[in-house]
Amino acid sequence: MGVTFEFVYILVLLAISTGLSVILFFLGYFLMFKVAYEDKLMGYECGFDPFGNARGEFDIRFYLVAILFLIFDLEITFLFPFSVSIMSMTLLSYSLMLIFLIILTIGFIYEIKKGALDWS
Amino acid sequence: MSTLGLLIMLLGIIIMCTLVILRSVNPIYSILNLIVIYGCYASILLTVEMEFLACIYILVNVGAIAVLFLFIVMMININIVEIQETMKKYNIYMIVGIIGVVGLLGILITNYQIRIKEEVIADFSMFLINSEVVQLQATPSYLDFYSLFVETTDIRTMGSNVIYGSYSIWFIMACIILLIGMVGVIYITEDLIIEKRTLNERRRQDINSQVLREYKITIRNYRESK
Repeated sequence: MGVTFEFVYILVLLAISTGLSVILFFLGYFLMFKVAYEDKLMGYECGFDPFGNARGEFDIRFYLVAILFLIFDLEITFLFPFSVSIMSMTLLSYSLMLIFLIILTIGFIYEIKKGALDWS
Repeated sequence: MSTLGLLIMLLGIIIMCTLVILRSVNPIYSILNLIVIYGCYASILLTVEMEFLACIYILVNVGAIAVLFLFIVMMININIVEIQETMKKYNIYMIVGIIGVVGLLGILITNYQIRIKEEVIADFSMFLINSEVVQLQATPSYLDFYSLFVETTDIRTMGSNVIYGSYSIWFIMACIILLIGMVGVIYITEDLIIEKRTLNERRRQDINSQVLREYKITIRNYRESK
């Protein structure tokens, strides 16, 4: 019947610590002293104009890894209900899940054979 | 009512992070605050007992799309000073957006009522009280299917019946779309990877092409030093 107040001190501790961290974060952001001018972005201190941009280009393979990670992450969203309710599934549902995994494994084998994950 | 307080706090965090996203010049700060917003949205969905949508918010938006935005922002060559100069034009739109969000929050607080799970627990406790009273009459006991139905989560229901059973055609269709996405990405970037490897093998400095990028500045510096 009654609500237990046994863990109320832990709740207060959690609330104070979370609130304090959030307050410190936003205070640090809004009270920041910022002076921005174009010379801060130059590459050389001695005043020479750089020929190109000081920041190097990212390799295209980072983008490839990100896209493939996105695809397998969407695969996890389909696997998550499967893992929760595997005891109450029918044989048809289980077979369809196996077909799903086989098709994506075919894509993964194609990925390895094409050398998309080779970094050197 | 405690759930409503939690909801107001989460929406307050969302508003603050939205202001930081709109105001900050560095795009990486914007994306990190966007991740915080997705976490708050997932918490709101958990309070309304939509567990599967909350998991999808965390897995898809935070796990995949935010990381992808981070990669794209790092690859794009953004001059931050130019962004900061043109940011002043959008102050009016920011103010209008803030007023709109505050208005929506007011409508939500005044009108929307959340069905809390505790009502079911209260009904169940009433059932217990009634059962104690009626035990004198020796009535037969029965299994409460309603409580079993209420205690089932969204993920279990969707996993057992919906995704892999009734809508299995769309499930296989989504699988084929994922496969096409995977093969397409590898096909698009294959030529670029080969070109990058051959370029790295013979990397050298070409002074003529570097000088010709900005001809006037380079020759002017040469004259001044001479």
